[in-house]
Amino acid sequence: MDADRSLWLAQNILPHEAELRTWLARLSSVGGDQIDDLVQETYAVLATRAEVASIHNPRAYAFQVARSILLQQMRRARVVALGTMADLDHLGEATDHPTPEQHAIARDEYARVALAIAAMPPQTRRAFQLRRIEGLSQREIARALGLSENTVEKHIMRGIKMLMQQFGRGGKAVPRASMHQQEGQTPRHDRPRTREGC
Amino acid sequence: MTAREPAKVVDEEAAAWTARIDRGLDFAEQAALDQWLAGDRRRIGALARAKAIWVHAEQAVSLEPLLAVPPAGESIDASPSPRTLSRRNALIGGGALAAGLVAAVAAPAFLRRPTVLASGVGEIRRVPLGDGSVVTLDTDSTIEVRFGDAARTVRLRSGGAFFEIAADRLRPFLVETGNVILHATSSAFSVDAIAGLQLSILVSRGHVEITGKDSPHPVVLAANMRATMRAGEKRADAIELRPIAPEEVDRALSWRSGMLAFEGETLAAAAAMFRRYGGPAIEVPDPALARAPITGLFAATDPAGFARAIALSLGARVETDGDAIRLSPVARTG
Repeated sequence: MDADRSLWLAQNILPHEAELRTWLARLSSVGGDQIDDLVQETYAVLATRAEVASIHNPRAYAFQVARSILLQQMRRARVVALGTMADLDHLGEATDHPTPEQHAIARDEYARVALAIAAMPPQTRRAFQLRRIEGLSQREIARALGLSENTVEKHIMRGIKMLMQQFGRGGKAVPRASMHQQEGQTPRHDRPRTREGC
Repeated sequence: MTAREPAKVVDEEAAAWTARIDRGLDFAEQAALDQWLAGDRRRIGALARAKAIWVHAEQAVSLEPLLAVPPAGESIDASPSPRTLSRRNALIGGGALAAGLVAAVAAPAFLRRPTVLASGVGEIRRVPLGDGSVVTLDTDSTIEVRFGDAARTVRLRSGGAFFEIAADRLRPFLVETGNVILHATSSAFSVDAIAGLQLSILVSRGHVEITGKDSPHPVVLAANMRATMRAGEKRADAIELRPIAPEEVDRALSWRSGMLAFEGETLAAAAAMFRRYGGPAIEVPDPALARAPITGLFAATDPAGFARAIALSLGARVETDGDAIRLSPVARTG
């Protein structure tokens, strides 16, 4: 995957990951541990697609991808929990709406990432910031901090790991109990967005 | 069912690979990576996500210093908190090492409030702006950045800057300086607003529209063109446009790598250029010598080396006088 695709994912998909996770968590058939798998598979599809320039609404596209992966898995499992198909039918509504607050979402995510960086152990944070703010190479960071290059790489790895664990999860406070919304009441997925559980 | 690797483990491995990719893979590692990726489709996704987060983190953290550096003698905030001050000291004094102290509390504010980015004397500073655009600040320069939902606006207060603009159909990129506004889509250009000199705009890629405060029609500046105008000029039609050879464009932008390139500028002008980067002043009291044309590429922070090289090529004499370096013609004998 080239750098352009990483940038595209960072700008067009990451901001909606929290919403995607929230939506997946609402589906009665999806267990909490499956969400991470589905998110990984969704990114796999987006990363290996030949081009992304033709995707006009990346958010809707990501939801569609997740949905088709889910459907595939269900077909394989051959046991479909009642209600899941109905959940999936609501997807259309979730993805058709434009997202007027795109920038607000991005802003929230930046704030979250910045907070996550601030919460890193000091040495990790230092290595992380030297790499990302100052643009020093790992080798230069090793020299600047008097560490081995191996140790710097470990810190960078740990920093990325922490962000990966944190990203899009909004503190894991997805209220599953309230998810079983009643028939006739369409879940409006544009609403809750990333604000839950900050 | 065979045991699948838990998603968490896949994520951890992806983080490790991202860190390795960041430092550079050797041949064997590249093969190992390919093999790892081929083992499970989720790994491809996890690595793609890890790399995207890595890119995103750069955009997130790079915006912090914008908040953190108020211009000299001014503050973005009317009531500077102790935190603001310590951040500023950290960034200006201690440099990046201390940037770890920066708390991220205010990060969302960058979209609402102008944030100020400044470079010190002799410092060349390259800062991604978070939208894919990158600004490189020349020595002793200050810009204000205000990114909103409708436009991305940068005001160049003083000094010079090179902008590489990422396209965004919905939010034009505007650079304000003096009495003109530059409108850019996906272009690369430098703007110099140096006290005592003409305002100068140089486009190296794409094109830039220049609008004066008092002129209804913009002037379009294409790649490999330079526009100059008197500081304070309000009319776009008072701008002087000139095509420039691509080599000349590179030369004019060589400051980005800490070099000053001259091709026929006078020694006095070159000396003034060095002065902007700090270090000892170069004095050329003799008017004829001061008018001598200079050619060559010099390290911006080494005025003494420049003076020695010039003395050698022009047959002049170098004297160090306190903090100043004086160049004088060699006294003619006979």
